[in-house]
Amino acid sequence: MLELLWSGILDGVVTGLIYVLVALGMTMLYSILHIVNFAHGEVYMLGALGVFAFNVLLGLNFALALLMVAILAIPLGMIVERVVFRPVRGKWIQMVVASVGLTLIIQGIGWKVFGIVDKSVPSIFPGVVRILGVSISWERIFAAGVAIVLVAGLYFVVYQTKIGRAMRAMEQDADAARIQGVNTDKISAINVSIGFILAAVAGALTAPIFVVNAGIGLNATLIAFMIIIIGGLGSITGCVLGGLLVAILQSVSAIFLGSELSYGIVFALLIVVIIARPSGLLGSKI
Amino acid sequence: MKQGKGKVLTDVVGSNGRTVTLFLRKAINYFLATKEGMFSNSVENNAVKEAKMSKYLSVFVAFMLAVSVWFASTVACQGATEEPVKVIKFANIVPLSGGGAPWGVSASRAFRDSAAELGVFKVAGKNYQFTVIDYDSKYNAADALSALNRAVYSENILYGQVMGAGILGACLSLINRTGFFNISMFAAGKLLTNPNYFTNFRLMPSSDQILIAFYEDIYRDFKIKRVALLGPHDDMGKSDAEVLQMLHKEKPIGTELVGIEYYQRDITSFYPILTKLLALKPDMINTSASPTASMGLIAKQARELGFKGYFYNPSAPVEAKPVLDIAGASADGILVPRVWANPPKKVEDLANRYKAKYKEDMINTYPEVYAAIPWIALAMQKAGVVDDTKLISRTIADIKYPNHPYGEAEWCGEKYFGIKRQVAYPLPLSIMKNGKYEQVKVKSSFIE
Repeated sequence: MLELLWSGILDGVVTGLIYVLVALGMTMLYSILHIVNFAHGEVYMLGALGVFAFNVLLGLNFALALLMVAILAIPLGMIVERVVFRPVRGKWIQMVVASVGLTLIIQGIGWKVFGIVDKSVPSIFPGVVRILGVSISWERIFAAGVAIVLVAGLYFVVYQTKIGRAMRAMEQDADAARIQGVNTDKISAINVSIGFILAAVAGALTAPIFVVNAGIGLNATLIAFMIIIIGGLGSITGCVLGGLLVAILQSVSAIFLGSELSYGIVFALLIVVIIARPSGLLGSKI
Repeated sequence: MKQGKGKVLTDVVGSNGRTVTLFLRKAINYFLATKEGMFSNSVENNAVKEAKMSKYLSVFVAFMLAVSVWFASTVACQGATEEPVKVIKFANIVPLSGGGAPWGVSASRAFRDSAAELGVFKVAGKNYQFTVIDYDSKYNAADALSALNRAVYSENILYGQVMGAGILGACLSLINRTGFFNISMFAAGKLLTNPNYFTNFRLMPSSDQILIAFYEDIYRDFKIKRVALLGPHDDMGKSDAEVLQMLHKEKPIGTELVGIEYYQRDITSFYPILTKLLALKPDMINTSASPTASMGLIAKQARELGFKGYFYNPSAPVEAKPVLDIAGASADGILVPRVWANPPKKVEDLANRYKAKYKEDMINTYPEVYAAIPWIALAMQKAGVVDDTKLISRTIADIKYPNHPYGEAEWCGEKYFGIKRQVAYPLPLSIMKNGKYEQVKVKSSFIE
């Protein structure tokens, strides 16, 4: 029984750290730009397909493929911010429609370009390690490790750099930030790019662990939404906490109650949080 | 020769050869009569030259018009002599995107290719031809039902396939109400094949058929003492669980069914469920109707968690290359029926043609579906009708089809299902070993 519980917790922690990367980008977009990006999961999908393209089709080693995906996420973020998000900033309905439309466009292109058959990326770290009697693959440990580094990096950028200060200023009051000399358009573009990098890298890290196809983004979007609502919109710490909580709950409930109920239990937690604490568990602003 | 537009046109312009000759003769005579012709070097005033040029041009245009009319009249005559070909639409409602897409696309290609090969056929003296129309069900009941509604009520389609046990259940009421002739790939057993669904034909071996056919062989040949089931959370998975429980209860042979778990179809991390199942220490995991990608992930992740036993996927074929790409060496030990390691010649021929045409390897559902349209055509010819689906259903149930790629096929299940709506043909069982399938045995899948 304890071994099963520990297995659920370990799997949840590792999976949760990857979920956190997707959710962090989404929470940053919302808190600073007030954009609800339904297409964020598609960026995760593009990251996974991107690493497949670079690693399997073009033969680059995995590290280089991961770097290429991260680099390409930057111009993608800038283009999307300029072409899709900036014109509809502040207009809720148009923003929702635009981001849903973007989801469908990216998915359609993904299916067309990469086809319908599931793809796989070769394992980068084959083999397993036993931690307190429970096996877990080295791939998952590596993905979790990279996620921790990226989250730490994000903390550093947001709290220790000038750009981070500008982001926090925009999040408090965009007009006041503009008056103070913050180039809000530039900060928006950087913000979206950072969010896209995180989501794309999350997708790239999971590509060798699971399978890749153009439909994997939807689940990522759903989970990211759950995490940012539970953890708290605009809170990096809340996002990390929410991600770990969602993943551990999903994993442990699947083991003890069956996988049919695991999503339901997470949604039940979501409802409780919305009612009891609408701003989320740590719903402070960044 | 049938009198039609062609004869009228021919009468108007005279017979074909005479018309052309007449014009040519006149044109040449006119040209020669000018003596100097179009390329004269003599000095003439421009007006005269232009008048001559316009005359030559008129002759040339008239000549071209006559040729066109002659050609059109010839073609119209030919067309008027042939029987019109009526189209019989075939609605192929399958997943064309998502996890089940390889099966859906394969089925679409099989129907189209076999319809093209069949071509025009006669029923009661009239010409017919099948045409296949694809609808993407996304392996989702709501989308499949919406597509079927469209096919039946907007397009007036009487024949087709709704693929997948998980979604066919939602469509059966409409199929029954309209008499839509459904010949399709779906697992599950009595749930979807029974006397209540008269026009519903299963084109592949049923899950229970396979479970029954190989039940004792697998447990004895591979010395299985403990088996667990991990199936998709839908009608298919649940049906397999019921049949497995029934077999273990009614035909005990010393193997224990230790656990049953279900998973949502789109999940990719099986760690939690596998952790739970592997704690029960099975020798074999029956993965029911898991698609190839899920099978690969289950095998990979189960091996990571320390599982060393066999996997058995009775209700869906598992393609070798994709599962090896995902699971690598962890795929060894996957047992799959309906996968030919040593295929019959007809299957090899289809595989070669498929590769040449589509530039990728054929998957196993292609030959299974290939027989459907010609078989229906055979039934139509025997019944003498094309639009009475109930009569076609009665007729086809009693017809053997000798040209099935796997060997002679027939409909069976009168005693087990209460109605002959289950296809039967020679069935292989193969095991993945060292990166490729090896054939274990071949058995007939006929059941009473």
